[in-house]
Amino acid sequence: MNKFPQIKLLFLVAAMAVLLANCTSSDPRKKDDMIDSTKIVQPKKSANVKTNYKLPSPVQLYVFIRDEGAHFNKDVLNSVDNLSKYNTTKSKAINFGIYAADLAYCTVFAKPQQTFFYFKSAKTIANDLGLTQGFDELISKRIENNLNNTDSLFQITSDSYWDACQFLEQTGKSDILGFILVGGWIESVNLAINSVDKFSADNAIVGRITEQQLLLDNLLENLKAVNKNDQISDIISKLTELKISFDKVVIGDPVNKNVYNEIATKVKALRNEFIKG
Amino acid sequence: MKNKIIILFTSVFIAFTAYSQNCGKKQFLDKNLIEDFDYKGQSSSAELQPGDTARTSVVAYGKNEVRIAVGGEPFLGQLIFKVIQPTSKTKKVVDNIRKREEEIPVYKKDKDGNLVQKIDDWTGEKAKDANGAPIYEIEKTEKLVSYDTTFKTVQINEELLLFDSETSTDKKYYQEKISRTKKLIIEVIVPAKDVDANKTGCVSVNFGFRVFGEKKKFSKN
Repeated sequence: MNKFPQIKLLFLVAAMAVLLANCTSSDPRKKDDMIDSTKIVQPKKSANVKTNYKLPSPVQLYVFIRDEGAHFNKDVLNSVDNLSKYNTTKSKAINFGIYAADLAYCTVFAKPQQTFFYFKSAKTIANDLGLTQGFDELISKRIENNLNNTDSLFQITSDSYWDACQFLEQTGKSDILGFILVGGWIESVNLAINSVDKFSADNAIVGRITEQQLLLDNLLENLKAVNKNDQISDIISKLTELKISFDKVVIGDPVNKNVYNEIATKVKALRNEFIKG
Repeated sequence: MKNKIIILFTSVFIAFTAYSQNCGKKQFLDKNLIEDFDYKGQSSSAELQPGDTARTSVVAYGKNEVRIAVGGEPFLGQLIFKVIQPTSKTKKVVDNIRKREEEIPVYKKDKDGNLVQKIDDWTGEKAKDANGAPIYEIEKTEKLVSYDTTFKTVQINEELLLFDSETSTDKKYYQEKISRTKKLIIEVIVPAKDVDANKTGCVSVNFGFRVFGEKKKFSKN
């Protein structure tokens, strides 16, 4: 049953899926042969093996923090008023990722009004970036016609996603994808950090924030595989600086307050740098 | 309803990858394996040839149960896939050992074991240095060898094999309840066959997840 009064807006969000293709590029690199063993094996040099680096959806993070009792906070979202600041391809792509993350956040916390605003913002940037594949009027109509059929809607968005993914790769826009991934990830971590009222080493949300260390690793590998220009290199450099702080954490061990604060400060600073345009 | 909407928006950041424009629309996943796992998180597809090996690195969140299965175009034959857990630890090792050799003086001593102060040839008095400290007679010099050891920390990467479809007799998929967030590597091997080496086929790596454990009630905040 439809719980949300503005279900139309919510399902339009599904079209956002097409724009957030984690079309990660393969990374041809030498990898190690596996010894068929159930125990630890020592990696050996082997023939060239492609590796593809993935990240979980920020929606998983939002669902987690919501279920851990986090409250929705619209004040920490990237203001839609900032839209006019984004004039370069890089700033548009990064902030498209950020707005899409905000959009997903609003959706998970069931905020139709904010969802509508962030959908509009993301769509505006998508148009500027030429990300029309899978985000066109046809898809919008299909979504409208299936507002009460979540299964069909899911299929529509999945198909749309693939179309957009193909489009971005075929047109050689893997660098844009990289920027979008960066924006989406940094915003999701920022939102999680802002959901922590008071630090506690036992806080599950704090723990999940520090686990983002693993996502950052894969994000960096992803970017390195598509590294085509100085702008990507600059992003890699900034994320590598952030990684230094994340690497001080041992996942599963109690989180040190100073290390957590260091991570939180760097994430917020980097995110604020991005939203300035 | 809530879960379906969440699935919808999980697709917002779907991490699908199409190595080629053709494989993106092809999925090879046994319908019996779907259940309530969400496969649109970190699944991927690739265009591979016989003899190829490809890897996908994913992040599995704690408190999630994951199911991994691989499928491909029939002519590629029975695909082999492995699930690997990469581990990393640091170890202190010797960086450098520097050998130092120096000549050190052995001072002359009198019958009582006291150091013998040198007599200045000019003044005939007991010799002293510029600071007024006594200068003692050197009987001989000896070679002293010492070693300075410096250490460094190195990272040791290892891979733990969790599942091998070739040796798995009953299950054709891997499933695990993840207690602590970790990386997993899914390695797919297309057997080398007696076919046209240039012929490629689509392979899909299906990574599904679902939350396990106590689920709190959904509430609007």
